[in-house]
Amino acid sequence: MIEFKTTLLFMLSRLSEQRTTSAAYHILRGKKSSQTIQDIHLFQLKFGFSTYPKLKKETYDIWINFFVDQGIIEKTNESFRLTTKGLNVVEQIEINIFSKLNGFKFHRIDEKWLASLQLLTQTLSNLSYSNNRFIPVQDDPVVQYQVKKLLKMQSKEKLTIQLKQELTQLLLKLNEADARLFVVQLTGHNRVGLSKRQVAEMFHLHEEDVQLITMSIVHQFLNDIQNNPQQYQLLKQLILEENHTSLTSTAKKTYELLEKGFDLDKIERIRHLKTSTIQDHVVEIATQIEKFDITAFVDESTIKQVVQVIDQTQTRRLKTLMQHLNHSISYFQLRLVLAKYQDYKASDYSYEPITRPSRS
Amino acid sequence: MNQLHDHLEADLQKFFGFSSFREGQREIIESVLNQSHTLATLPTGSGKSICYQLPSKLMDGITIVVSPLISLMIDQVKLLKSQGFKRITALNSLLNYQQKSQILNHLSEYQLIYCSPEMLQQPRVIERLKQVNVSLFVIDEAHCISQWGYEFRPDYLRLKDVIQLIGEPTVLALSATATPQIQDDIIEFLDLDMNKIIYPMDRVNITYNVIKSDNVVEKHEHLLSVIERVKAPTMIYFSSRQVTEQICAQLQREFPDRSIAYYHGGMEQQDRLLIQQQFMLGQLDIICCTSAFGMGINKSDIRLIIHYHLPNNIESFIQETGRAGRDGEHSVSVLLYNKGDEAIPFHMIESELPDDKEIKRYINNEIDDELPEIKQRFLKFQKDLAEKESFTFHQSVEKIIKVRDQRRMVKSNSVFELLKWIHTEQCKRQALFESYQSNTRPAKFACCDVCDFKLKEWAIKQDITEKHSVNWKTILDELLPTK
Repeated sequence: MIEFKTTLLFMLSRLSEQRTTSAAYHILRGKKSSQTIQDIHLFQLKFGFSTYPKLKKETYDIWINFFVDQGIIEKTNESFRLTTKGLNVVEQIEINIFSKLNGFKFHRIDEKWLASLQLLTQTLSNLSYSNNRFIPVQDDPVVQYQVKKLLKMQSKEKLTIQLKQELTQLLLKLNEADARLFVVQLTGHNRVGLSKRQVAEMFHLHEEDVQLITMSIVHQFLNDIQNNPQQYQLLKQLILEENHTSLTSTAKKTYELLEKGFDLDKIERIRHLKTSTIQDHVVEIATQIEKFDITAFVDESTIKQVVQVIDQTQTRRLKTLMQHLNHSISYFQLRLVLAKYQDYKASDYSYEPITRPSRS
Repeated sequence: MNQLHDHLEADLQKFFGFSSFREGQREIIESVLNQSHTLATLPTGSGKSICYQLPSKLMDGITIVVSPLISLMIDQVKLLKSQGFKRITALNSLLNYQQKSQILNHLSEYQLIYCSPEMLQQPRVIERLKQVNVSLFVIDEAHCISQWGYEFRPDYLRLKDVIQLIGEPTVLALSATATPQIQDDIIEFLDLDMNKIIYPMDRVNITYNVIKSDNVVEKHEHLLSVIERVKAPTMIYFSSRQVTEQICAQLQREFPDRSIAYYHGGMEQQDRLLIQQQFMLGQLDIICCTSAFGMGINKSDIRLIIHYHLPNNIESFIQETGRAGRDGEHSVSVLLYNKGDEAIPFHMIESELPDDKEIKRYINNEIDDELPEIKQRFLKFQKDLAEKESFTFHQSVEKIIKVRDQRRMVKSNSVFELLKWIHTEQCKRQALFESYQSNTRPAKFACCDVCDFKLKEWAIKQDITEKHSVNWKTILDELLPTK
């Protein structure tokens, strides 16, 4: 089973000596900043992105302090690092388990899909028991609208049968404990679903574990639905795809201007923004948009040079890299190369999905 | 000549599914339907909201309900929508500009609009209200108008102007905690000719108990021993979120066969919703909570209300204990008092009012956002008043300090009253309600620990919740039965 503790520790092992501990916090919360988006690509932590949007800072700090107290991590001046003990613990982590989480792929649809599923279940359950007066467990008007629309499409009896059949099919692919953990959270007629805290008490887990396990179940479901859409005619309709990418809205405007052929100076003047802000946007765009070409800003030979330095030093710290490059390029250019590092690396070498700095 | 309203019972049945009115409801509704301005008091838990919800269905035009608590508003709207009411909405600060415009542009399509007092200060809202037909203007928690009340809300003082601006619709002022002095204040302040409908505040089916202890360990033992004997829907009130969680965990360990959960304002919205509904549906036996719980809850069979900490004042105590026994059956209130417990409500008062330095800095525009909302609200109102009078800096500061001290006194007195009540050796029921009514009715079951009740001998066993099925397939079959 996925645990919050091991998930966080694994993330920290990737960020060790490169970032501060709050980098992992922002990743779990799914912060849509250039920095965080870049980090998940650089350190291959896409799986964890936005898997805990409501994580509180106090809760997060309790875990970090726990790791410090246990001598698993230690804080350094500008960053933190895993201790030898910490590295040993990380060695024991079953990494395959994280393949169940697909945060970056699904972060735009997972919560809304789950909310719609819960509301649809509650509604059909109550209607099955001829009760049409109940307080919806989901307040989001978008979700309510979505479910109402679905209910008009077919008879309630047919929908109930279909929902049960599709849900059963999905649940059968999980282990018994996961299936149960998911189902006890559902609300229906005369039965209110358990809160995350209550599920944690029932299964003797931490509340934070329940959040990640639930997310991993949702991601597995979504994977299955997207791979076999013909088998999930009802549940696939609960997927609400937002029609824009995960760019922040302000970066999106900059992107639109870039697409129209304006240069950065011109965009600055049009948007009345500082150079550094526009540069942040470009880095965010480079990270997010696969086809975005950075050679307009950095020439090919410089890119090669930077990639080599990253490989040699095994670091992503801007300051360190800059020293190795003798400040021959700008920070903006360096960040752009870092954003596309995986691509350039992949074209030179064979692609390895998970690489960790080796300990020797 | 008053109209006759023979159809009211049928309407009540049609819209709410109740076959008859509870005490007071019919009289208040008839008064409102006859377009008389009305001041009404009904005890907590006796269905105040029906008194305007039914008229809103029967009158042409819009019913506006001013309510000080946004969470209460939202609960009410949700509840009514689940009962099939469609033309209902809430105007409050949680809405974004677009949502607000949407509502304001379609104002006349609504029958019932809950509104926060702040919203009624916005010129745009007033302008729209002038253009539509408001037939009933309800002031919920009307005691908030009185500066002598614990829960005085400066925004309520502006309601008088609002009422005049929108053409003096019929006004209904409602309260569950208004002493005769506060009742007079409300009428004098609104400056309307009002029909007074005063129902006694006391609840004849609730038995009152105070258990004193010398230390926390002893207090805890008292708590466990009551819980042990009372197997029935129970609420335990705390004034700290942390203690709420701690005691909840302890009770879960001590009573593994009962279903126990906690609720406080620091939880995620989704979890709050689930826990509240679990308690309503009888899936929980005991709920450990702060005062954030219980807004608009409609559970009728709560048998026991325990206060682990002192409530903020005697009004809150009456309101919170009033959630017990809405079905009219015997219910019990237990206040656990440990010497020194009063420190919390006194501290609360201090944290709600600005100190001298904060007042000076606020007048000088040196601080704003870093102050808690409750202090900001107080200061903003007082500063506006001072500006109207064209006070100098020193005059303003002097005046506001005076008002602050007066508020502090009102609030402290309410805590002292509560302490006096705890220590009284007279009948607890009579002492609790003597400032509200001249005669307290005799108890229907048992009165109080002074008169006739021995908590130690009270045991009760009511529907204990069943534990969940274990198998997910069984759960799914129960949720979605298909043949």
